[in-house]
Amino acid sequence: MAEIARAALHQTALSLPCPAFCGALRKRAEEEIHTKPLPTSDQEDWKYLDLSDVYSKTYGQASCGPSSYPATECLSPETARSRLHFVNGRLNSGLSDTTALPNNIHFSSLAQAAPGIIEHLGKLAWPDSIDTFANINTARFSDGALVYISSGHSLETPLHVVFHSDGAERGECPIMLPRILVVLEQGAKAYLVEEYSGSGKYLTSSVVEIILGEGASLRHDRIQRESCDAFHFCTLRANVAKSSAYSSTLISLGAAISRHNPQFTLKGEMSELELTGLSIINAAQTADMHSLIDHAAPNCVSGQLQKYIIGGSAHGIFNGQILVRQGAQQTNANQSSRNLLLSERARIDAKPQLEILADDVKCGHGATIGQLNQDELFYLQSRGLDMNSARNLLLAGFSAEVINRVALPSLRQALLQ
Amino acid sequence: MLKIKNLMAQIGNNQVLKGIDLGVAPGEIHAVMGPNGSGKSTLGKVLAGHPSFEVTAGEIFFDGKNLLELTADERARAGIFMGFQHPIEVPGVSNSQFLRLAYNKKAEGLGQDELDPLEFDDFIREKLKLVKMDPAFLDRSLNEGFSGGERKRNEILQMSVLEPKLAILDELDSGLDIDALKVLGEAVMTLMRPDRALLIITHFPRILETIKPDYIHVLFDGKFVARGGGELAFELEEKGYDWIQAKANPGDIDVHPGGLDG
Repeated sequence: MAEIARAALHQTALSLPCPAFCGALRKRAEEEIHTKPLPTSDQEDWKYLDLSDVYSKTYGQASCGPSSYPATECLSPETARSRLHFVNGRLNSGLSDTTALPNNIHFSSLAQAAPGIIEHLGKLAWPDSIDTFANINTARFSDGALVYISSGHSLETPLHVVFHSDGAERGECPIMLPRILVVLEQGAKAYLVEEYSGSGKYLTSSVVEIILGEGASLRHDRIQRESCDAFHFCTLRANVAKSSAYSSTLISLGAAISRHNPQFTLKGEMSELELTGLSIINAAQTADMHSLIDHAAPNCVSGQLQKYIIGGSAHGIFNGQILVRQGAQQTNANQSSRNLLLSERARIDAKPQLEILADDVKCGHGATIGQLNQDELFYLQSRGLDMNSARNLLLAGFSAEVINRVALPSLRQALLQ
Repeated sequence: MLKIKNLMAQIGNNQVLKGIDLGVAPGEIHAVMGPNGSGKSTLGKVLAGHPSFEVTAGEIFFDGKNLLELTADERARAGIFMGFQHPIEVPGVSNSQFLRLAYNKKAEGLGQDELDPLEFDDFIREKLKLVKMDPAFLDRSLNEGFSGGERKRNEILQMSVLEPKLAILDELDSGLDIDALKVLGEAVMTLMRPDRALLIITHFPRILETIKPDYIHVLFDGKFVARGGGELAFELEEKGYDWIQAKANPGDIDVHPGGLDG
């Protein structure tokens, strides 16, 4: 039965229109879809995650009609003229504006990008290295965002990419396939904000590829506030070259089931990676973070802090793998997983995984799981704060460590509220 | 103002308070002294409403209200302040945000206007001077990375913001050098009014040189074993707690009567 349901999702995905560009890549992805089954929890990488709800739905194409989306919602004034806004997979030119950017910055939709640049697609998220949800994206995505900054250019203006989805209230769930390609050449610098929102039932499978040249630097804030009825799958692949730096904050709030699978390869010496993440889930939500940091070069630094706040009967999953390869001497890698359970039925599966093949490294990891601290609550109450205010203040304090890293002031303020 | 009768309390199965009687009237300063483990801190925590302690007998009335029916935050809003011996760190919560929230909760209870961040900034700067605290501490997380002395300063800063009717100060002198102790002791005295009262909990008599008590109660094994005026502190300093312990026949040593009628 479950297999029939998965086959139906395959079929629906492959019946979506197939745009002409990236023909060879799409063909390869399609082959993978035919040979590789959709994930289930009996596969090691998908253990703990129950996908039966995903496979019990019937799927269809996203609507091309006008969106009911209120255009003024959630928009940050800082990016009013450096924003690409996709609604149901298509660029909405009315909501998008890139006039704040100089001519030498390529920030456009992928469908409008030059063929030479498009060739970078799939280089990191190659079909045989990604799961079937990501291959469905690769085979059928119709558009997405391109950030291409040529050598030596440093961009202060934040770049904002918004993917909004109008889901269905009943009947077929539309499938949304957002895509982002970021290429920063040698010494280039940029700040990217990636945001997902929506309403109703739908399935998002997004693929993000990031290629950083030598000495390049990318700050990347990612906000997932999909509809609470949606399914959200996101695959990210990033290559970090010599002396380059990547730092990212992922705030994950929405979706009935979300799964993030980011993989970072530190390919060149002296590169730096900083990841922070916060998931706040409630009711029956599930949020799965499955990350890999691959230290493939010596003298690199990586830090990862992942936090969960879990209420109701929600379920968090953190599988954080760090691989230090044989030649990656003098690696400094630190990982921390901190989790707050707010109810008896809340659940977290936290699994840090360190695989160290080099002998001269500094690596540390730790995981904590707990409830709100009674002494902290009492301290705040003893100053006249009622239980609710005290709890909220402590939760805000727990979240602030991650939210304060978000670099866009209006977005940070909105999240702190 | 405060009336405690035959108070007994336990944590887990451990009976810590074994029948406490105490009365505090407006304008009075009381000190509870005693050796380590005598139950001094427990008395403070029970008064503040710490949920880990179970009151098994007795009663506590504050301004005519049955304190045992109030939660910790209700007690605070009724005018009780507890200055902790070991104030804890609350990472991520900024000191100023917390102080303003606490102030506004109190104002709300009294039907007064709340202060917005700018108004509060003016208000708090005056208070900082009182405890000689660097304004930079306002932007830091509550007590995070504070030294023992800085935490105590922050406790008295909170007291000055909340202006409680009854302040219970648990081991204010621990972690403080002599100069800081003098500053904070004087700040506490500045906040004293005829309609307010202080309950100082201390092991060492040193703090009582700045905050001079009207009455001293000596606690031993969960009961008061001696009571007297301020001069009892000097006797304790000279003779130590062994002197009391040797004579301990609970409640019998009334060096000077008093403190029970508040």
